[in-house]
Amino acid sequence: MERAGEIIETATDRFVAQSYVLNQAPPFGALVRVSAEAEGGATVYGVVAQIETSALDASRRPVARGQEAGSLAQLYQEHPQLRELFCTTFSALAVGFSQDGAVRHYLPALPPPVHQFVYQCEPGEVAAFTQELTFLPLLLSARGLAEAQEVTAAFLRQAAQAHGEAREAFLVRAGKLLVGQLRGDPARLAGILARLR
Amino acid sequence: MALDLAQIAAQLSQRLPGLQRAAAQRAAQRDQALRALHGDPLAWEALRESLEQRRAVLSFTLPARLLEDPASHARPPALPQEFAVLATDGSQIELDRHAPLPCYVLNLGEVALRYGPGAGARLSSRATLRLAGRLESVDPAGGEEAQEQRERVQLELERAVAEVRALANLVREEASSSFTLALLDGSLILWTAAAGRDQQTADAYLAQYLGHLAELAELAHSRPLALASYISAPRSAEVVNALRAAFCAPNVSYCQANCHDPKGRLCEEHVDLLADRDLFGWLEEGSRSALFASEPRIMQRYLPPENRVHFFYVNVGAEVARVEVPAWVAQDQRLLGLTHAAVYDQCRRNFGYPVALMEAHQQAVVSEADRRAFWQLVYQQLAHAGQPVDGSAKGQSKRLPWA
Repeated sequence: MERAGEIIETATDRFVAQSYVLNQAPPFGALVRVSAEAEGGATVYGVVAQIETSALDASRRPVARGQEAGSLAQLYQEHPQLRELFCTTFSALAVGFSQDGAVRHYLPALPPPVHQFVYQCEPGEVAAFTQELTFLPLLLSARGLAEAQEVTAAFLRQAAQAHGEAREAFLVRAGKLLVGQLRGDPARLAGILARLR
Repeated sequence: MALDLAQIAAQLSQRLPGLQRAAAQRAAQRDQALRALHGDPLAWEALRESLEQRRAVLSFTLPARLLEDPASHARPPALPQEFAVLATDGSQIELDRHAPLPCYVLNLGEVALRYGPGAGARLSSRATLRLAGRLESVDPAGGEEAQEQRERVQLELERAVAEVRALANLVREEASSSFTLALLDGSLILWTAAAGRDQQTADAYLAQYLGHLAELAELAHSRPLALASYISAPRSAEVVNALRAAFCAPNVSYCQANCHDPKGRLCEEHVDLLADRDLFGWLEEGSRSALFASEPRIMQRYLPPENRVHFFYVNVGAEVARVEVPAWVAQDQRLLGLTHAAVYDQCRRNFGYPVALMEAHQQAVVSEADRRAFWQLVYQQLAHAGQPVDGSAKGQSKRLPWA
């Protein structure tokens, strides 16, 4: 599987990875995996909760250059240095890990190491990981990235696709869990359910 | 309180009337010089003649040699679909004698920009740590200030040599059969080597510098390659000094007797406030001026002669800039045209300043934070190795000022 990026910041509950290709990242809400390097180590799973492209040197303010360019591709061709001056990063919320053959749906003992490679999970892996959804509170309570209900809904939409014919059953299971979690906040519950379509 | 701007403001307002008078004077000089430049198209050869008769007796920065009508101008030719621009630029962390390790750092920015169907870019920097031994030598003429001045000059020379060496290496790495412009920031004339007190050292650096220029000339035998340097806001007055001949006494003996004293020169009051760029404001955007040969005394040491510097001015839109090229580019009409076109194109793509030079500078530049991090690293590694990290008290007071 192709590497999506490399970790540049890491913490117990989240990590940030730099993409290898400008303007590309695993989609918002995608399940990503940080494989363990050593045997017995933890393979950490995360949900992409923010994607960002910005100047590598924060002191340099980007300026508009494309007034005469016919397309974005042409603009990059005329200013080839731009691909080297910006980078795309994505942040993921840690939602579980696997170790010694067992998958756990809570936070790992140690965050994945900096510079470790990040891969986007294949549908089969997503379907397997989401047999259990007890980690949803980690998405619902996340702060500082994209709005929590957007992250949760984006994740559930993609996970549902990975379940193929069992898509409806998966969504019903997720919906019941959300009802339990958001009993006191019907507006938020309605917001997420509306975004599952 | 570090700088009291109120004091500066008062001093500035006192100066303004004088500055306004000088601006009016300069405008009058410029109009007169432009009349001389655009005079009878056939007269320029007489001007050249008069100039060459006087050249040996002149006491100011030697005038440019006129190669064609100085009022002529040219549009840039079309660039090929595929071409590349390579540039290097250097920066440094200066030697600090108050630090526990007398050392300095040269940081070179290297940029390769490829345009056309295979467009791409490579931006990188290369840092080199040097211990001060090579710079430190006792100056019998004295004092610490003289020593510091020598160190600054040597570092400047070392950096100039490193920039052109890196550019030659970059040209080798970026092999291509399409046109490549190798671009440097500033002058191809190593003025620092002419001004230094330690001539032997300066000569050694000049020899290395010229050796790398010659390498680039050699590389151009096997591929379409040009070398140029770009000067923004140029202050040279070599063309202005050539026009002095138009305002001089007809007999050379007058110059022989009086040129050493600016007050005695007849030409002085006609041109003393002008720079070359004042003469070329009329160029259309994209156009270049006539080509001139630079003739300062140091040029006699620019051997082989293919290294000798020629120049033209070009209106890049934002300003009139000076572009210098070695003789081997100047004498090849195709290379000269492509250099002109590529320099203008670089400026057009980047709001009036060549992209490659801007990016090379950005790769090279050492920020205050970088400097602090560098010295912290030096301290850490010395301490780790059990070396003394005292430095001087003055050094400590600057690094960690106390109140």
